[in-house]
Amino acid sequence: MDNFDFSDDPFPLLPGGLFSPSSMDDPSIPLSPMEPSRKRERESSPDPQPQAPAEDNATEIASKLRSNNPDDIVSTLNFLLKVSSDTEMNYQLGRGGEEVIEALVELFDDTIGWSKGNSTWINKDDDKENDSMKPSHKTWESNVSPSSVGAKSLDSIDCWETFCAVRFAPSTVNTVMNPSHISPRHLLNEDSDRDSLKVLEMIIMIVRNLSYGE
Amino acid sequence: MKHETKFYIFTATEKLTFLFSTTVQGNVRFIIYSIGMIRILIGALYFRNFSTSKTERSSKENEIETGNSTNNMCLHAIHTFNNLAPNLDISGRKLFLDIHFLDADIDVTESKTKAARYADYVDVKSYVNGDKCGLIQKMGVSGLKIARNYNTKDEMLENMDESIIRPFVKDNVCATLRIFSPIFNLLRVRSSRAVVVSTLELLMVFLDNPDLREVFLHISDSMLFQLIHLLWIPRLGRDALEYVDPVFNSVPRVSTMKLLGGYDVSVDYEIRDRSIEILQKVTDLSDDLKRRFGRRMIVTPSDEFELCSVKITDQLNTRLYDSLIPALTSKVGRDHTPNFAAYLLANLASIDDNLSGLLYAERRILRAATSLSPESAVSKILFNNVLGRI
Repeated sequence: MDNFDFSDDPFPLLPGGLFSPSSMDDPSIPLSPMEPSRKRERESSPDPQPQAPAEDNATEIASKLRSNNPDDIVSTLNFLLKVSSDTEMNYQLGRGGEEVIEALVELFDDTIGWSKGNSTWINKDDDKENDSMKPSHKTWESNVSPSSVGAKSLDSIDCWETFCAVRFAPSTVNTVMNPSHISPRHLLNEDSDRDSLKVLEMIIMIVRNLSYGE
Repeated sequence: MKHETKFYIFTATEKLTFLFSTTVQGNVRFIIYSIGMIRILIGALYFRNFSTSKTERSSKENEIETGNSTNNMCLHAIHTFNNLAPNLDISGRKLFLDIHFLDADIDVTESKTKAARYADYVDVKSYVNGDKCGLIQKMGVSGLKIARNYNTKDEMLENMDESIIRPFVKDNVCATLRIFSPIFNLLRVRSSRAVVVSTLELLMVFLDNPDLREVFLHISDSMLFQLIHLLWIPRLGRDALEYVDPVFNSVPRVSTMKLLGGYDVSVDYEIRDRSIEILQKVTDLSDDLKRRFGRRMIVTPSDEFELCSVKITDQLNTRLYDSLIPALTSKVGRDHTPNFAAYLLANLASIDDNLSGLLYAERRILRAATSLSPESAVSKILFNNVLGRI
């Protein structure tokens, strides 16, 4: 009988489950073009430059991120986190990299439950086009709408910032000066949505690592 | 004419290809030019569900669980913007140049220009989607005009009319401008000191980008109020950041001597140093900002949703002077903090409207100046640029 003792680990990794070490070594992920060589091998190698990614590599990664199979998504996120965190490799997304970025955005939206994409975020009103492109005092004002924070349904929230405030913040933040009365029923928390939070966090960490490129 | 058009366009694309291959990071461009990615990074800035309690940390040594005050989504997003900041552009001209001049079909390996030397190291074509770039080839005479401007004297197309550029870049510019709206709330976070420090560093990087200067010219009164507030945050006690209530957490290594110390011991100097540097750089931007800084800011309640707003009054800003003058002689924190404090006072002194504030603080400024070595830079700034103008 299996006996898992989680008392020492606040975030136990289930064998074969999300974020398990085995998913890091998924052979279905195209490791070969960007696989970092070990230090000893690198010292003996005459060319320390990592090989350029294959032409269709970014497309393949993007398609795995869009997959319906959660294992594919998790293993791809683990792969991206692994290669992007290697400072010596200086991982580049290469041709088609914008597809990877867009796939990460879609995955973030799916995980957090946002279905409106960029449509309600960017002001499409032509009359206000000039104003929205010029910096003003409104540029520094919070976009969180307190009137929407107490919405009964997440679908009724059109403002992205308000949506994130409702999903991410406890009842202490995100109005201009005073604590608001955000209901905790929409909140993503560690107890019930741990995997979702972990996916969101991994996406942001991957983007952060990619932004360190030389 | 057709030959001439090709010539201008070819040299323009080669010129940008050279710049792209030598100075620009591909991943950063992918991130900046994705409106969706900017959106989710801004969304991550609203994450607040982190805790400083021990239960959020891993039990393993040297390993910190994510989700706590020093390792969380919000902090990662701030660091990402920190890396992106030098490339952010609210004019949209950098993006416009990429869209129009970066030709995916150009073969740099056979080029006779300098770009060929770098072709072995960077495959420029791998960075871009050919379907979205190289629009200049399809613009006819307009493309010729843009290419000629770019080739001769106008590297950032500053002389090009905005009506030409705006339609191509307006969504990206709007997305970039929305990065600034969550910053005020980030500076008000009390449960994560790392978030506040990183946000202040992000503001410093933003200030170093000349393309974002116009944004800071319109900085809100709320931001000014909060930056001045951060000039004096105690390190210990209930008003400190990441305060841990001793009723629930025993802190055995706190010495009672720390509670009896003066300014240098009690101030949170990491927050103070960064705030002073930001305030000094912001007041450098315009006389209007110098004037606004010198006036007292009050928080007034509004009728709607119990929100409060910050308003500037005609009274002098005593809190600013009371927080700033001790920093002139501070011995803790960064070495150049007294210099920044002195320069900030000099900026305020350059406006006649702030005379009453300087008279309020004159005696203490004089005491600080005389307590320093006459040869020190701080003393010279105080005598020549502050006291000399009273």
